[in-house]
Amino acid sequence: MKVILGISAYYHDSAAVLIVDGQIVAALQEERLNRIKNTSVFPSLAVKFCLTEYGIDLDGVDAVVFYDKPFLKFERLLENFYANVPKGLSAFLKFMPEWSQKKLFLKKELKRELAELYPDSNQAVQLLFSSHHLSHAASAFYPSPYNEAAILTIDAVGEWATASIGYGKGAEIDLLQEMHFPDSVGLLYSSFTYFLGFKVNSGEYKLMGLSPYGIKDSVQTKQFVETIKTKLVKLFEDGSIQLNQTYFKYRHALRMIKESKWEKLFELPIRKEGEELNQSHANLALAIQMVTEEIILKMAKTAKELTGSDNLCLAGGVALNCVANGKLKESNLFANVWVQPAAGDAGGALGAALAVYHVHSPSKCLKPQNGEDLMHGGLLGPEITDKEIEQYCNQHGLKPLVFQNDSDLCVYVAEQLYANKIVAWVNGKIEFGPRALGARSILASPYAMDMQSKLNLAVKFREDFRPFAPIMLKEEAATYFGVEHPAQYMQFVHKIKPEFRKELPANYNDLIFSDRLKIPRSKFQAITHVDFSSRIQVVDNDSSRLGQLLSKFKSLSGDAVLVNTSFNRNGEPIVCGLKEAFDCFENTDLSILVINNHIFEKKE
Amino acid sequence: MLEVFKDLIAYFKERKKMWLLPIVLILVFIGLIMIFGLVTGLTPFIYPFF
Repeated sequence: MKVILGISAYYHDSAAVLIVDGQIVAALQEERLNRIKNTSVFPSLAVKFCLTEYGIDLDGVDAVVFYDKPFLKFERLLENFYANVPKGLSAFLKFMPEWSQKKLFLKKELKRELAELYPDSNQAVQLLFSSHHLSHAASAFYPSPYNEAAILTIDAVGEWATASIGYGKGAEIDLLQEMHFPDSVGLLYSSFTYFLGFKVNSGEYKLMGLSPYGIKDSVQTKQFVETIKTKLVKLFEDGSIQLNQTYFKYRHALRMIKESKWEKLFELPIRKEGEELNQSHANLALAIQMVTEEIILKMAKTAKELTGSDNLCLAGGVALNCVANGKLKESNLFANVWVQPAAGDAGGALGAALAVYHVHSPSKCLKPQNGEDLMHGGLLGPEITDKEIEQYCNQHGLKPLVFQNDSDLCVYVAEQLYANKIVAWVNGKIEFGPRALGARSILASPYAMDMQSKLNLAVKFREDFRPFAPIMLKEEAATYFGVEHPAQYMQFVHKIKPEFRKELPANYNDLIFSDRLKIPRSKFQAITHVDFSSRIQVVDNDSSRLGQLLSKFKSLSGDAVLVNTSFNRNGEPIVCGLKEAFDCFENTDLSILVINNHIFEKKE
Repeated sequence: MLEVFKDLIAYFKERKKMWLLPIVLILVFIGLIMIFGLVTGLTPFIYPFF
């Protein structure tokens, strides 16, 4: 089996991935093209892109693999319904039309969508289904740099499994242990996301960003941790958990939790979306973050005991919790930790395709010998060509500055960044996964005191408490953060070394969040969060265009460090093509738009 | 439709969960009635049911 198309769809984060001879040729989330954040539709546009990228149509595909087993999921829904009846009947009936219309008939539905997309296709393509957590495990292990590794997958729920521990060696993956619904780390974290007024399935990272405002040593935070561990969750030594279902509603209603019981439990009213955040909210966010970290570390310890491996691969939505990933790395439980950059369900499409490939070609060894992974830096989607830019400029009467070599371009852009201009940077193929890694990024100087609020309020239009991540060259990561492991996908949070921190005033923790943000914390004010932490992205390749830009910025400022945030506005998917790039550029306080070697500037 | 039910029966046999079949039939029946106009509207996002 040579050419395999992986698909994730119908739940959230639809995506398509094409692998050829076990190598990833193209991967794209549908949201990047249909412009609907976290879209769940069949990924027609992404499928079309992937096949076109390799120059084939559906006839050239040997198998299509879906990332999830619908019957197994349906079984879970039925058993859950049966276990809770008569409770949950009305909620269940709301979802039945979709199941009886589409999801139960997924095979037919997928065939119909593919036939619609390729009406001239001659053959009936083979359709296969991989289990949800096998897809995650495969997405974590096969593209990783390791020949053998422990595998940990943690998310909200797949079919039955909510977490799994596995072992990968060569072409084989063995899933050794699973934790099952309704006990779930992801659902626990999402319940707190809901209680604190953020959206389930998209607000989890806001909760994570809020947690550093919590005060670890405060009586309230300690009480919250204690309450969570005694009333809500039973933690076992192997990392498995049992959720006290008397506090949750997600098994039988359209809400995550029993709100009044939670309000009584934490002596805190549920926060409505948009309401002002206070210290108690931050303390609660920190408490659940600490409990989550404890669970993940225990699971990792069990994975270590079961496999004896020095390498760990992670995937599943909870693996996007980069604060927990940082702690896991710093625990030195495993010498090496690799996290799939598309750890959520989009990456399931990749895992499903790779799992099928390795079942059919078990003898092939695809791992590169240079210690690199197989993800191509996560840059697997469409790129904007110079010809497209020229056509766009002709149509709209634009006259960009065009540089003939990268060095001159980078000198110019570095000067603008050093002058505190905010730059949108579009370069090459778009990233696969939730993070902008320098292909569709907004870059800025990390020094200015007001850069964080400027970016949040005038460019991204999002909550002012949210932090920004740095992108830096390898030597800076080692110097300032003591980070010497490959951290190219922005998946690990580490704290800036104590010698580079500024002393905080005694009343720091008494200040309201917006005032706390204004207190100098390090010379990299814009990328140092209130607890001195940063979500690090390391650029290993100095000769890439991005590497050159960082070097040129260093020659001006002394540091190869920049702010890197995704090129989009709040609630929008990351910019993909020219139209949305210019739309975002023109409607925000961005100063400069760089697309490949073309520079567009706003008139002052 | 028939193919899916055949698959589903084979699946329940394999998993030794034939007792789920009557529930499926009842729920699919109710679901079909609902498709034809009794209930509409969006539902909020809750993982387990999706």
